[in-house]
Amino acid sequence: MTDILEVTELEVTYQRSIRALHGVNLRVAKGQITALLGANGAGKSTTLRAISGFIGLDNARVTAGNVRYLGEDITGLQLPKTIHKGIVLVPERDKVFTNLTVAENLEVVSTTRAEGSNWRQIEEEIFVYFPRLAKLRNKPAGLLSGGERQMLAIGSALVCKPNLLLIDELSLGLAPVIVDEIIERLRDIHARTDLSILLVEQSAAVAFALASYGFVLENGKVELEGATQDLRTNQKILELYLGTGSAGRADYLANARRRREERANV
Amino acid sequence: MQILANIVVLTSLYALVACGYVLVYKVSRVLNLAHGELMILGAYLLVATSAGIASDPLVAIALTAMFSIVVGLSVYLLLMRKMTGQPVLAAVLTTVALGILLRGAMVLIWGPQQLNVGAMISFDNASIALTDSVRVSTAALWLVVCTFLVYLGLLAFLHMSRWGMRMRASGQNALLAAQRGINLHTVYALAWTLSTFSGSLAGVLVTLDSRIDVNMAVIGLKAFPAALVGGLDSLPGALIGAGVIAALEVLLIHYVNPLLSDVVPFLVLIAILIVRPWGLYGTKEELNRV
Ligand SMILES: Nc1ncnc2c1ncn2[C@@H]1O[C@H](COP(=O)(O)OP(=O)(O)OP(=O)(O)O)[C@@H](O)[C@H]1O
Ligand SMILES: [Mg+2]
Repeated sequence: MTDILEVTELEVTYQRSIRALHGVNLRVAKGQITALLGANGAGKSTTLRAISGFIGLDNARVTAGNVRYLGEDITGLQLPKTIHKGIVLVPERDKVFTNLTVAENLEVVSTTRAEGSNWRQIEEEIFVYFPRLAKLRNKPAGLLSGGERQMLAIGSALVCKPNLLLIDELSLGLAPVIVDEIIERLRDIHARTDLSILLVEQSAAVAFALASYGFVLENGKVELEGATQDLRTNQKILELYLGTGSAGRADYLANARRRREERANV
Repeated sequence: MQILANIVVLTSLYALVACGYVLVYKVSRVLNLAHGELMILGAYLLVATSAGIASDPLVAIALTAMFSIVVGLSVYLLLMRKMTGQPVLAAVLTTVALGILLRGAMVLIWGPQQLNVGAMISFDNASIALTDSVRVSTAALWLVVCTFLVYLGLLAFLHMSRWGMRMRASGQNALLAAQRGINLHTVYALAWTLSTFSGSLAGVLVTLDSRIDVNMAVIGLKAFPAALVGGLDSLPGALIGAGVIAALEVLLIHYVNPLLSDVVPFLVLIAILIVRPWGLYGTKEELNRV
């Protein structure tokens, strides 16, 4: 199997001093969905941003390592050049233009790959994937629910005609029903196109439902990788993301409550 | 009735100048404090064009409009382009420097004395009777018509064309715009060009109605409160802001004291900053901008 993306020993530094990645190694196989798991601050978003390109405002730099896409070295390539090569990101926050309508959010996209094509037709294609959006066509995106925003964000990324789609936090903050619907839609899109996807997730369940291979990021380094059926039974993953994860949170909440009560008693 | 006509004319002037502030601020959050000077430069370009190239008023004005596009594009490419990605304050300070520089250059080239541009291009600024008691000058009438057309054109462009949409999108979220393939440099260059074009148009039309000297750049400063009253990032807001300022100015001049003319816009500015810092129509979350 050939890789569409190959990241080796990638290091990224913010503001010339804050090192966020300490040599990340990962690969995305062509036509496959690959998951990138990790706790808060592990460097997942930074990894995706480094692949899809920074802009001057980010004040971020790739300081070592490289990114190869379709065999070509694209390390440090900035936006929007990466888009024209077919690498498109669905960002974690601020993923739609809130002052534009749903239809405008799709039309505003600019890539040589989509330019000149028939706009109605492109919109209709997206509405086939996300029928819910068709009814919201003329609504400002700022008024959409979280789930609808995520659909629109994926839709507008698809208008860029990606070969490699990077999705940052697919399920974050969404209700389980909506997450199921979006997973369903993504599977459908993936089945109909030869799209390769790199998916960042905090929920191992969502990642396992979609991906065939996964990487686990910790403190800016890949600590673990493997086919999802192997990861599923991996003891470390179980501890980190499935069993003790939520139990740990419950403990924390209980402790916090106890501490508050103690303070109140003093 | 004559007062109403005066208000409409002054509103048009402030609105035409204010839309230049709005365009640049809306897409890049940069306050262009050289806008008044760029506006006057438009008028001086007409002086240069009519003296050197064309004597027919219409041809001269059309050529000036084209030169102003070149000026706007150059200001972005040579100066503001390097400011992309820098703190906004640095960009604003750059425009201050640009304003001072332009002012000096214009005095050096065209001198400090007043010029009568209308006479130079033999523009017939006859007074037109709208009704028995209401008269406006030809240039003022042009000003009203041009402002109307510019606003109509800009609103249609921003809402109906792809590049207009991209300008609105980039103003809302520049990073996402880049992530959707939009070339921010093209968008900013477009904003500066349109802004300088509309400003120069205002400069040309205002000098046809009076004489010109460098100090008229102050009109730019007086139109700034109009943009701010409307919220700085809204064209309809700028139009209404211009109306408010013009009405107050004309009424106070007429009924109270002509000397108030120069203070009125800034009194309104302070009042608005205290009551509604995000303006009448601006985006509320922009509060931290001032
Ligand atoms: N713009 C920035 N400037 C400085 N440091 C940053 C910036 N963005 C991220 N970082 C730092 O880089 C590290 C990795 O952040 P990143 O956002 O990539 O993590 P993440 O895995 O996506 O976390 P989350 O799950 O919270 O989204 C963090 O320590 C963060 O503080
Ligand atoms: Mg993140």
